[in-house]
Amino acid sequence: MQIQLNEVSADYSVGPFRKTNVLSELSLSIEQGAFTAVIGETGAGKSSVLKLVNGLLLPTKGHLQVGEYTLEKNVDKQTLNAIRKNVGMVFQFPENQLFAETVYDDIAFGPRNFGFTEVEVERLVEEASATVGLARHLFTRSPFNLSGGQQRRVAIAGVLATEPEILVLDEPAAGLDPEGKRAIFDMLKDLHQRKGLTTVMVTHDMDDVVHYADDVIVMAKGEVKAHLSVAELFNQEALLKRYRLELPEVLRLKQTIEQAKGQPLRAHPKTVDELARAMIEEGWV
Amino acid sequence: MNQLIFGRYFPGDSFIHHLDPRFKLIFALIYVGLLFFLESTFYYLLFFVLTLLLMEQTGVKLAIYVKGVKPLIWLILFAVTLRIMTTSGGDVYLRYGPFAISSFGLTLGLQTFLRFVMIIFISTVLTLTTKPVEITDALYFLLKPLKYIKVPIEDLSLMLSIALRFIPNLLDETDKVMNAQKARGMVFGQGSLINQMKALVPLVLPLFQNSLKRAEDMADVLEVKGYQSNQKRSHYRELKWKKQDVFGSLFLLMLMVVVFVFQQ
Repeated sequence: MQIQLNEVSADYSVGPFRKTNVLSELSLSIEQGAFTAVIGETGAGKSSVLKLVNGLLLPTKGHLQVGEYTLEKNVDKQTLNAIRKNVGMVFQFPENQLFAETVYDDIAFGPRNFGFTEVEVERLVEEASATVGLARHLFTRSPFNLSGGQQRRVAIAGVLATEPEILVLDEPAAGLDPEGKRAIFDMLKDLHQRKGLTTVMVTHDMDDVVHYADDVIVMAKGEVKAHLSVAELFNQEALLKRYRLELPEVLRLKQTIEQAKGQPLRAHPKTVDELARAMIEEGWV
Repeated sequence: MNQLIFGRYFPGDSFIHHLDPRFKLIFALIYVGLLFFLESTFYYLLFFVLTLLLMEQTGVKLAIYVKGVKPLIWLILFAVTLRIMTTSGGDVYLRYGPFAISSFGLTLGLQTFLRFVMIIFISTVLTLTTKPVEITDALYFLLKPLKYIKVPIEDLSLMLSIALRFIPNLLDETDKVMNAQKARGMVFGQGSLINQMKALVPLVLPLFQNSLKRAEDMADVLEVKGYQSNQKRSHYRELKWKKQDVFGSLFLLMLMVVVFVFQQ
């Protein structure tokens, strides 16, 4: 499913307070099947974009197109429900949303809400658990007694179980150790390719961007400043500097080596292994 | 939830904001007390104008105060209606069984209405212009004498300030969990009453779980840092009784004289 934002403005009004636009006249287009990373400083409006795509935040101006559905200010409940069914949303620290008595019931919560039959629910729960690597014997356990990493998996499975076509994630690996983090991302990337999902992910970590994303949206102050491919982004040092984005580890390493060597490397390695290989090919080592 | 104005702090720079919280607390209490000693409609209107002036001084828009009254309007109207119906005397306009609408009743009804509204307005003035922590500090100070009859004032004020401190967090968290469950297809506020109650489980349970976890963490931290509530301690925020508080107190005294001496 494709996502298209047309001059969308949005804000959060809390009682008598009305904050100025969190997002102002945002236009954006995310292709079907893309793995897109959204980056930018805190308060740039990254999470708000995700909420828009799921209809949790409605535009005050403009409209957005999610697949065949149109979201605007006065959207009706059916459309909203249909969109939420098609868009899976993983929040930051999703384990905070667990509530059911058993892991099974928690994962089944979404599919049941969206009106799947119990037979289908069972299949969906099993598939989702297999995807995130949850063993069956955990189904009857209470989600509150699991480890942090396992809780995260249960929470993500609960979102995947509704079989979304678009997956939006807000820092899905925040607070996990490097190993758990890699496991989550590898799982997401695999799922993305296997099911042809459209994935949009908010992240702080540039290493995640290089490793997993195809293209990047750079946001600042509620506006989209750039939308380009990962390779392009890291070639635009001015852009990186302007929005105070850090270079990923591999590129910092590459720059240091290039400086020491006094000449640029022609290849664009994404991992340290690729960098090593490129250097061997160049005959630098 | 977002409609609740009562108990919310509006940052501002008015002179009421800068008054000592102890003074504001006492002022609000005595002011509300005085409202119960008013006898004629003239004095009600006098106090009403005074209340409006105080509200104007806070620099917060009138609409916001009115919003604070809204959730309670039915309760007020109920009390007022009861007052009107059950008071007799003066010219009687309408009579039905034991109920009657009379001129005395109408006057009393108006007075009841004004009193209710003023109570809400004046306590809103207090909470809009005073940070919750300041109110806690003031309460702690004013309750201090109770220490001599072995009331654990320190513990109570610590509990109160922790509770107040975490209200915004809890609201934030409610919002987050609500969004997360909505994203999983939960629909709030739909269906029969029983179903609506059931729909609260996925919202309330995670909140409880998180609050308990946080309480445990906080208790641990207090323990680790060697916090002991019964120790004598200095304060980060010191309450200072300033010139304007003296003037305020004189003003309050004047009001009391007006009510208890002139009105007689």
